[in-house]
Amino acid sequence: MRNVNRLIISLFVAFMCLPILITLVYSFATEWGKSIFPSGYTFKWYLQLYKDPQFIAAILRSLLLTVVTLGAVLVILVPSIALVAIYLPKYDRFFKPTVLLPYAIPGVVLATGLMRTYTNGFVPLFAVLSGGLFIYSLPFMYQSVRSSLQEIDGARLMEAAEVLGASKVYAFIRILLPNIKIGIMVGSLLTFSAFFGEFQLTNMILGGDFETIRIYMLRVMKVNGHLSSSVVMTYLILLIMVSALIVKVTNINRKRIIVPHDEAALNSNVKRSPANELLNH
Amino acid sequence: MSYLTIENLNLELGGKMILTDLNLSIEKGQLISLLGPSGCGKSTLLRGISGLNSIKSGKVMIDGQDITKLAPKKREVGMVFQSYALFPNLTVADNVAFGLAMKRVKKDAVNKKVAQILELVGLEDKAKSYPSELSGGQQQRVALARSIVVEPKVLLLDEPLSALDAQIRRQLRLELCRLQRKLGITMIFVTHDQEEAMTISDRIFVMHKGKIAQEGTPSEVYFHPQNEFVAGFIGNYNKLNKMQVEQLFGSLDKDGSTYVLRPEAIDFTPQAHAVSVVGQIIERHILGNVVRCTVQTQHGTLWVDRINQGQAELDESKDVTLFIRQEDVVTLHQ
Repeated sequence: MRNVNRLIISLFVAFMCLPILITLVYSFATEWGKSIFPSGYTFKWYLQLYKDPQFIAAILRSLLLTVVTLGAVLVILVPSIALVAIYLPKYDRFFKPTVLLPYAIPGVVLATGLMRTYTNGFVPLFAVLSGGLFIYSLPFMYQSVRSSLQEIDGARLMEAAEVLGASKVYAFIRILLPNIKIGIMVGSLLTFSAFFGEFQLTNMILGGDFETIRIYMLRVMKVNGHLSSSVVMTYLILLIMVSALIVKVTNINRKRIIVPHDEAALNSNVKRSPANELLNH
Repeated sequence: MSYLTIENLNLELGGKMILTDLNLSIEKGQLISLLGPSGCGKSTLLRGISGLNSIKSGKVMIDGQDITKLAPKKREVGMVFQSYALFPNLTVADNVAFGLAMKRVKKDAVNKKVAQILELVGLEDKAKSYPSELSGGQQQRVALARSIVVEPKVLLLDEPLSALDAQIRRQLRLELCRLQRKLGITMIFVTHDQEEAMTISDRIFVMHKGKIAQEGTPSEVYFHPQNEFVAGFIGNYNKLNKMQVEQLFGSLDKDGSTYVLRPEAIDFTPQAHAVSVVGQIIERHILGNVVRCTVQTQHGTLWVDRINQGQAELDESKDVTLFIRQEDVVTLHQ
């Protein structure tokens, strides 16, 4: 049984890692097509890639698109999810199927719809694309944030903060957000990955006018497979780095965010005060 | 005038009336319990007082001020939740300091008050711990400290002990009582546990279907339940009809059609002004310090409670004579 377990796990790991490993090897290979192993190894594809200003520009464009859209998602969507979950739970039954719509609408349909509606209007196409991507983030963010809210009983925390004198906005920022940050981070990570690697909408709405990393990758793939592999590996490493950064930020040591208290006062042997002294202090 | 007054309160949730024409008044410094089964509206009433549920009509007054329309943060009431609702991202000290920070109390004063209140609830060594590092009992103490430290006019406790195990629950119940007496806070305690309500309350408000079914001191409610619901909820009374009572006592100088008789009021030894009834013990259950006998008499079945001293005469199938005093029979109003 133990061996069977190991075999299953090994197959799974191989299935997940082998394509990445082969792509990695291919990105360093001088040539790999006529024999089982590459004929030699080189850094020249990476050097060629990093010297290409169009590659750097593509990465920056992808980052810009991702960061702007993710920012909008965090500012608009997260409070909306919390608002519905805490104060308007009866509307959750409408919200839930709505956020799952992006799974049902193919990218082509969404892109065509957006283009027909907005291409001859006043809205910049970058904003149209960002808006389209925003819709794609709904399922990731909704599931993550909703689960976090349920886990911490967000409604009760908000009520407790309000009864203690906090405004709704203050309670949301100081109490709710820090306690659902894991959900927000997970949702952000998934959204970031989806946005950064998005191809269909970007290609159809902006295409060559706004070459993102995925469009660049497609163009390079037609020219040179080794170069394309090095783009893939760079893209992967970049995503891992961003993910690690977000996880690191998430795990920053808990800070006391309300009132810094004096340790000496807390640890000193305070004389037991009579009730009236405490209340009339 | 009472310290807290609720007049003709109507509260609706999701299109359903939860509280209807509810009236209630509490004196300053009292600990009162809202007692009733699940769904009777006791927690909703608490949330109405705190402002967490909006009131359809009626008035809530605290210390002469009408707070009916005020936001929760302006009502100066504290609330302890069943699930504690401690802020997981804040230490114990910061949780307790939160309300003071909202009141813009100076840092030094906050530190001093937090230290004092934590000492009062016996958690001075847990100031820097996070809620997740505390036991359920400790978490509830923190929740209590957090609500008390802001000196609320009224402290609302929504089944604060129900998530705790029996032993901790009994201990915290007594601590809560002591704290209330010491600080003189007006408290409203929601519970569905009649023993809990009897133990801690100055007055009990028994709730049923969104209304107050009866109010009174624990003794008044226990010895003189006014209606069938209260009698059924508060204790294990013997329920008698008019014919049974007339068979027992001949004529009866009490109006009504339904009566109750406490099981412990029936005696096995002769009592002054008591009538005797012969019967047989058909069942016997030991409830810890009390033994409950089910006695079959010619007038029906009666429960009789006695202190459990291992009495052999209370064994099943034993013939017994019961002594019942007419003054122990309570008339119920419909």
